[in-house]
Amino acid sequence: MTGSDRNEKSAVRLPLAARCALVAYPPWWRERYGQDQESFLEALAVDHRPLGRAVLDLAVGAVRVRLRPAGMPQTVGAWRDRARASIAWATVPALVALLLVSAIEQRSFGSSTDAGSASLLSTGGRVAADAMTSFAWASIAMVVLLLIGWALVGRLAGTVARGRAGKRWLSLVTAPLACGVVEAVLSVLRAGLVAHVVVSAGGHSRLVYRHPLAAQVASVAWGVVAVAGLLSIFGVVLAARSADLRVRDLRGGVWLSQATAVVLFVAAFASIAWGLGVTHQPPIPRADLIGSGPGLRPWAGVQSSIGAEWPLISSGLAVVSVVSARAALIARRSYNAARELAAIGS
Amino acid sequence: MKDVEDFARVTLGPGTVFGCLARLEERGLVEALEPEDRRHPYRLTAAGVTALEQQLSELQRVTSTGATRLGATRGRLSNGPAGAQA
Repeated sequence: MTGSDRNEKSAVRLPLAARCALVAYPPWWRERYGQDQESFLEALAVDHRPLGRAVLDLAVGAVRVRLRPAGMPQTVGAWRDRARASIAWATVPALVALLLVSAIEQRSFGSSTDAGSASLLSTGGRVAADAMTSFAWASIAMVVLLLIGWALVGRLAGTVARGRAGKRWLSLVTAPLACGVVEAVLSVLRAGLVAHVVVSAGGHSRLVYRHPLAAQVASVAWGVVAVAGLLSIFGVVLAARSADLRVRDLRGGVWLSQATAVVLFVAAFASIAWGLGVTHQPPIPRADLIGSGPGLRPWAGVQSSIGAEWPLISSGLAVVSVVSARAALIARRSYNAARELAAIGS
Repeated sequence: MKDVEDFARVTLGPGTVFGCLARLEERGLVEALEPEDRRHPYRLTAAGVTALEQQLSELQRVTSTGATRLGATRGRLSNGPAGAQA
């Protein structure tokens, strides 16, 4: 947008949702159609017509353009921007998934072939126990991938700092990482406050804390920091957006987005398998549960870990993994296209 | 857009309109002119005129066939239930 264009803007102020929908389009689109779309909305506002449907239509159009960029100029910059945005779409949902995973009470689950559990678990129960183990590994893998992601962003620190974000990049990039560290400390603190586990008649277990108030404070703080961390990830996206990245700077991000999509798929599959498996496990007698050998403790944990929320969590993970996989595919294709165009240009 | 609303009785949103325009531009069927008051007017290209003629002709063929068959159905209905069943 040029300075004269800005001056020509009418006095109509569009609502925040409308401005967000306009910004959701890729840069090349905004340069080409942004003014037209804005004046379209302004005309509706001047006529006092409801903007809700138009804004929704605009948002759907933005998703459509992101998926199929009709009319996108065949330039290195346009493909590079598309690759960068796709990397963000493939990896940022991983943090949302992490939040979903955090709703699950994480335990260390042994193999379903443990002597203690093998005799009491049906096939469904063993599938559920193994699925939960896979889920726990997928959660760890996601954390590792996120750390790799920050390492990649950190490697681009110089490039990002020279961009429009300037010195703000440091706070933008380190904020989510700091939140992650605080989260880990709070989790350890909360685990340290556990006095013992009570297994009820239904096989559901409950944690009893030595200092309930402190545990509650730690839980609330964990939730607050988790939300702050999730919001601050957008700072990383903004920092990368304002940087003048080269095509080859995105190679690590493309690999990261693909790995993230695979891990999310594993997590979603494990979550669904857990839910289906656990429903096929007949109730275990209370006496057997309380007598808990090493193999039964995991099962008590499996029963209590997700509970009634599993369909919601599984659906959320499935949606996020599909978005991540699609974005990772677009990122790979866009990166390849940008690289080929750059090679032709040089 | 008001023109479209008036003759087609369809309200199009900005996402749909400009998505269509982008696809038409990509296929070389329309082209943008110099902006007027922050808006780009568009006009059909020669290829766009040809494509539109083909589309309208196809629509005309479908509507005339439909009208003919509808007329035949009306004729049978006016001859009574026995005619309609036949």
